[in-house]
Amino acid sequence: MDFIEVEGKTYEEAIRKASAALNAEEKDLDIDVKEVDTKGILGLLGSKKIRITARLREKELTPEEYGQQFLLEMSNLVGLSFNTKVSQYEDRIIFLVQCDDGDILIGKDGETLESVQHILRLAIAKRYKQGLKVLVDINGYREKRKKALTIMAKRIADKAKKSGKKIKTDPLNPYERRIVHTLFKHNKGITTRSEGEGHTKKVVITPVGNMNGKR
Amino acid sequence: MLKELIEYIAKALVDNPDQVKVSEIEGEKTSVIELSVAKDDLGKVIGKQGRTARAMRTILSASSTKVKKRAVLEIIE
Repeated sequence: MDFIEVEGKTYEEAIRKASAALNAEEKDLDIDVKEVDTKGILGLLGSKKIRITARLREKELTPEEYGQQFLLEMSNLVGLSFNTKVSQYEDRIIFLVQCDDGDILIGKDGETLESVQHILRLAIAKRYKQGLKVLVDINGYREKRKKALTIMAKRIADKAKKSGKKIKTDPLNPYERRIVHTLFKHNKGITTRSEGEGHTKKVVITPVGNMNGKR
Repeated sequence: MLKELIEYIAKALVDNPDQVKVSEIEGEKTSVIELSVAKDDLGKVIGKQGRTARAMRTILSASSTKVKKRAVLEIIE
């Protein structure tokens, strides 16, 4: 039952009855006052009756729950079986997806994964009218990618140091570029900067003290 | 299935979900999925530098490998 009509001598009493009957708190109820019957003068004791209807308000989903539901719905529509765990890291909502056909959702260089994340972020921003940071990972892809990127970036840095010349990485998306920049943040021998236009840019890895490279 | 997918995504992104219309023109190998939204919502489904439209197309082509049918997305003005 999600809807009830009760009577009480006062508004508060009616609410109490409704809450008890629906097993819910007042803040979760939508109340409609149907009838106020004041027989006595100025509502003197025992002469007043109030009738209300109370409806259980639909529970508002949290962004985490909504995101999970959104991903599940999407996967159902394409016939993938999906399992999502949600957690929080600093101010970011993390959706960890386990999926049998994970490769389909990751795509080449994680392109599909980025698309899923982009759409999910927009959908959450739309519904909650605020931009929340989200991260989607599928079958631990991002961790693996981070490891591979780290190895690659270190190799490029070694090569750059040896040759004294700056070297560019492959085109990387913002998340991947951040990994590279962070890696050399405290490295005095290397500077990094992004170069190019659009969503994917290359990272230029430059050895410090290099005389040939343009800064 | 792919049509419903695009419909679901588009409805989640726009201000006027009731004006989201999706139709599918089935071809032998390739389907064309046509998405039309309220004029004010066009920017929402296209996104900055077409990023949202590209994301939908990427998801669509990934999904079409699963259902073994190619599909392209057209956004109708």
